[in-house]
Amino acid sequence: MAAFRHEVTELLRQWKSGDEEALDKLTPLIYAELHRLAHQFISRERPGHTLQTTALVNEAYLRLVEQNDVDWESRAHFFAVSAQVMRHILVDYARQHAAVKRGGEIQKVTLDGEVIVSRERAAELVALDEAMQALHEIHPRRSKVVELRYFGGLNNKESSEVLKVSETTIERDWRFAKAWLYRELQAR
Amino acid sequence: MNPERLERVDQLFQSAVDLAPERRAGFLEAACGGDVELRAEVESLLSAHQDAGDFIEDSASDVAASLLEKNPQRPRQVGQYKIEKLLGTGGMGEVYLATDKMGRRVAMKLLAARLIKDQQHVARFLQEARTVLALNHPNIVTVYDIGEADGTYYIASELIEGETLRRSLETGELELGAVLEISIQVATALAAAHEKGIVHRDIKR
Repeated sequence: MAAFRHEVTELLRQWKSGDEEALDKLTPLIYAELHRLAHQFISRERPGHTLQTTALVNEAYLRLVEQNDVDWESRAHFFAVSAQVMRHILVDYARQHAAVKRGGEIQKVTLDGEVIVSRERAAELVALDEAMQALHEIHPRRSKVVELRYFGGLNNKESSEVLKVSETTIERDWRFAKAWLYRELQAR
Repeated sequence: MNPERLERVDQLFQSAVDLAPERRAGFLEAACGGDVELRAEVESLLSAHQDAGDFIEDSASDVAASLLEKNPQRPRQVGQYKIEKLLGTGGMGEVYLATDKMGRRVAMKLLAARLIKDQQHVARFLQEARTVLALNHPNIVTVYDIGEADGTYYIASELIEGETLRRSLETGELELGAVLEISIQVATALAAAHEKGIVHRDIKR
């Protein structure tokens, strides 16, 4: 594990200094770890706990990166890859979930508009992912901001470090993307 | 849309968002000149911005929690109710099928564990149930019981089986007769609430 951690830490450093190939090597490593943790979460019973992406990513970070040898910028980069990975994992699950056939089961109990059958939410997540792909076509950075913030749990400061733009730009990107995606989903 | 055009839309959108709503029309009038398409594009984004509310302001993990927890550990018993199975998940908690000590099937809404320590959420959760409790109408779900037991807050209400209006609309068109029937039922329920001085404020399919 120590050698593995050293490798991940080293790849993070290389990527931060502009080596894009390092990212290609890094992504599958982080993917494997997050996927493992997510599966563990499913099979494990944790009373009173709901899954938190940030907690999951933090756990992966602690396991994969040499703590005392890495700066906060590399940490932000790690979280950026994790955001992308979490998006894949979550949307994958959502897609499986949304595809479950309707049986004779009770669909919904209404008390207020807030109770939403998880399949509907799953379908919404899949639709959001598709809308983000459409946004990526016309403005990749704005789509990325949503990925970092919504799927990765990054704040504006961390996002600005990853994308190398100011925090003001991140906030403007966010509100544009939010309006754009909302409109896109309403139109479907 | 070409990149320059997109930047222009973004620029106008950002400037307009920063203005007071009543000043936006004038601003766009001046900024877009005769470019009707440009103005329409910015206006539709502004309207989406207005309506978007909490959209994606939570985290994907909130959604994911309900997807990933295929076998969530759930309470077996809350107060006098026996919890049978999970029916759905919402922003404030989960809804279970449960039976009371008489064997009557109820819909049991439990406040999400993460919100139990948050006084504001607890208050909102209970207030919502008390509001419904004040109403007695065939088109409004009947709340049987509100309470706190076994470390959680719950609302026990009438179990309604069937499919949501949203689902019906997604799976096919409704006959005019059905549309009218549903609309009348919704309207009479709202009228009953209005009589008690309660405004819904969040009507959706």
